[in-house]
Amino acid sequence: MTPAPARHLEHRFTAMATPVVLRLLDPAPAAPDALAAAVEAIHRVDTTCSRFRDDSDLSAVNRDPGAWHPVAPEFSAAVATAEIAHELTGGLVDPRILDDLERLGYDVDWSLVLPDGDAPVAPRGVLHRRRPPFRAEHAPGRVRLDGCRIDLGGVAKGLAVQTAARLLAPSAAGGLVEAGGDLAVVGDGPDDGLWNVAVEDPLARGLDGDAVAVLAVRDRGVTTSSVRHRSWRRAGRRVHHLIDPRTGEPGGAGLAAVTVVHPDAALAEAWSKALFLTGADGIAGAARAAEIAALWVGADGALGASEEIRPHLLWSRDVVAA
Amino acid sequence: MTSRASTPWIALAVAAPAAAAVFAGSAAWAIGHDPLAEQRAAQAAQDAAVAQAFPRPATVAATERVAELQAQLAQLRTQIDQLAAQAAAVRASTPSTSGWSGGGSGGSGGSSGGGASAVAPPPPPPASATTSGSR
Repeated sequence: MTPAPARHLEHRFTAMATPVVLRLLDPAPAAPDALAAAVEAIHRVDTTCSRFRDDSDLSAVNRDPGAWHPVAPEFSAAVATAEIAHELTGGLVDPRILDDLERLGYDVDWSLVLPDGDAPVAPRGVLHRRRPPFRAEHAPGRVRLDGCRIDLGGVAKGLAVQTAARLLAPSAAGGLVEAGGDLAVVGDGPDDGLWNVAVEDPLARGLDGDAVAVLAVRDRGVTTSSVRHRSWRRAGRRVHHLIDPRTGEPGGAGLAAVTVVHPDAALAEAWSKALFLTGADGIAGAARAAEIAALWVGADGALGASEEIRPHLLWSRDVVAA
Repeated sequence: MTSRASTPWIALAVAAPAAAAVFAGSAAWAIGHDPLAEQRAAQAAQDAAVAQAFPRPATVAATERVAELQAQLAQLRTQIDQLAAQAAAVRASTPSTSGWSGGGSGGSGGSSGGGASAVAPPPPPPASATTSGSR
């Protein structure tokens, strides 16, 4: 006899310029309220941390980054998370790469970035690698940066996903929050109690790639840093959004994508970016040293993985190298 | 995790001065043979210094800073959750909320697998979601 299928509740919407999915399994009576709160939490992170909204906290702070600014708690949390990510990754995650993102052409909402612009790329200005560590000052309801403009894109998305998952957790047997390929799952999933997460092939053609692996997770964030979607051409060369703060240029030589599983989706996002920036030559050692559950795809399509991700690895297209 | 994460950077910090020393010997030779050597030597010296300093090794101060920020985040989470719940209540008091869907299937979503050749690996198991990098 086939067991009765579990009930579920799902909501899809757009925020942070990306499709968002919230899903609850076996929802409790309070689930609609939890879903509504999760939606609001994501919108609030978006409206406070977007660099493409003139009325966001981030835009106000970036207009005068050396001054104190009144900010929402979501913005304070995103800045604090960025600082933590900066410290844990030895500076490889640095929100002060905004000038370089803009210099390379990512100066408007992603939907408006020209895929093949011919505008010249301005030379680099200040060498960011000489900067002191990223530090912000925090006071209740206020933040002051160190004088440099910042981008909170990846950190804010990870924070939004993690916040929404936390809000959903008490209201169902399990929940999933997915935003543009970054996700967090809580509680029981539909796959023998786990959540199966496909890792998209970053080298596939077309909009949606086949899977290179499937991970089975519970109470984890899963994020991928990849050049598959957010890359474009400028002045005759291919560039992407994963900027190495050491050089001010797109980084990750020899890698196509890095996926990280971590208890916190925001830190998963930070680590996937940091490991990507170590490049194909450095990623195995860096993931091993930091004990991060990571799976990566080289520019040649070869799969690599850290020991920590193997317990989550349900299936892979190819043999995975250490 | 911070101290473990620092291991390769510490190794880098040890290795970089050695590399700089090797470089200095090479540069001294090169300056006598190449009119641009001095300029290149200056650039290389700068790069060596950067390699030594970055990524930075974890320090006690950095570890303490992370702990302080995590405590701060814990407090902010409470405020964030309250604000989200308040915003949802306000929205619920206004007409029309759409986009919800429900049903009887709690099963996984699909995910296409490998090719159909004789040596193709088994297809992937069904997945609930896909991680892909920023779209």
